[in-house]
Amino acid sequence: MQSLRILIVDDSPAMRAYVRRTVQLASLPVKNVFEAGNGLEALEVVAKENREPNKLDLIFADLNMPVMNGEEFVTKLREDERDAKVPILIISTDATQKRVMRLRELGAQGYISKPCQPEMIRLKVQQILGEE
Amino acid sequence: MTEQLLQRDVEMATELVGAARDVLNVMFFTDILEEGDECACPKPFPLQVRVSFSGDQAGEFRMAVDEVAAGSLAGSFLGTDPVTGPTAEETDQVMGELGNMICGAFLSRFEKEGLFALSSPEVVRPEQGELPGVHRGLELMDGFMDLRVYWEPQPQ
Repeated sequence: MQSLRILIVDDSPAMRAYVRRTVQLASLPVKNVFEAGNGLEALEVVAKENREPNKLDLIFADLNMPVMNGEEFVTKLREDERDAKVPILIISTDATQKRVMRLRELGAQGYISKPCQPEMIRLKVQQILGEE
Repeated sequence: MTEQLLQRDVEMATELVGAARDVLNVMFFTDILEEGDECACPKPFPLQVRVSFSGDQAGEFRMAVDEVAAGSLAGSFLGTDPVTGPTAEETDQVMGELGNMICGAFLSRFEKEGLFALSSPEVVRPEQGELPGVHRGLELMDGFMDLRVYWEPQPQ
């Protein structure tokens, strides 16, 4: 797997720290980690950091965030042709069937419900990036 | 209270403790030692997290913990130095996230077909007021936790 440039989108600094640490514990080859506290901030990071030759490889996103939530973020991101192909892995406590189906329709590539173990994240990342 | 409502409360209590156990086992590397209607901890709790939810069902979730549990859980989650421990700000952030996760996990278990929106967790010091509804007191490996869920009655 190539060295990854990833974006973690979550309004909880504690959860961003957890995902960052989990990615490290999962031995994923991460080159750059960017962070955003909501969907709007994430769109700004994507506009700056997802440009040739340095594209983002993966976005981890929460659903329940102020200002712009995860569903709105996925929708907005998929509207822009330049950013439509960045894979998005949702990590959220909301694992109801309706929610997961809705996110698939919106264009999220993967979904992990919290609580989640580092191994689960590693497998999901490999699955998503391997499918590209 | 009708037998049907009593049965629902028993199921809610079971799923509430199950959700808490899942979150604590997987992300905080700890477990529940005892559960009951009350716990042996001094009241009021110094820290409480509130999360309200709406959608297919509206209601409120509250989680209260003592200082021992809060410090231990936050340190475990963040992997902080056991000697210095997490800061008060970090502890509040982790407790907010813990409350959010238990609430979300509970809703996903109890209403698998439902669609919910959760509020951002609100951390309150000290615990304020009691919430009617389902309640469980938990003894953890370090400290105590109190969980409550209020389920708004559905319009007839």
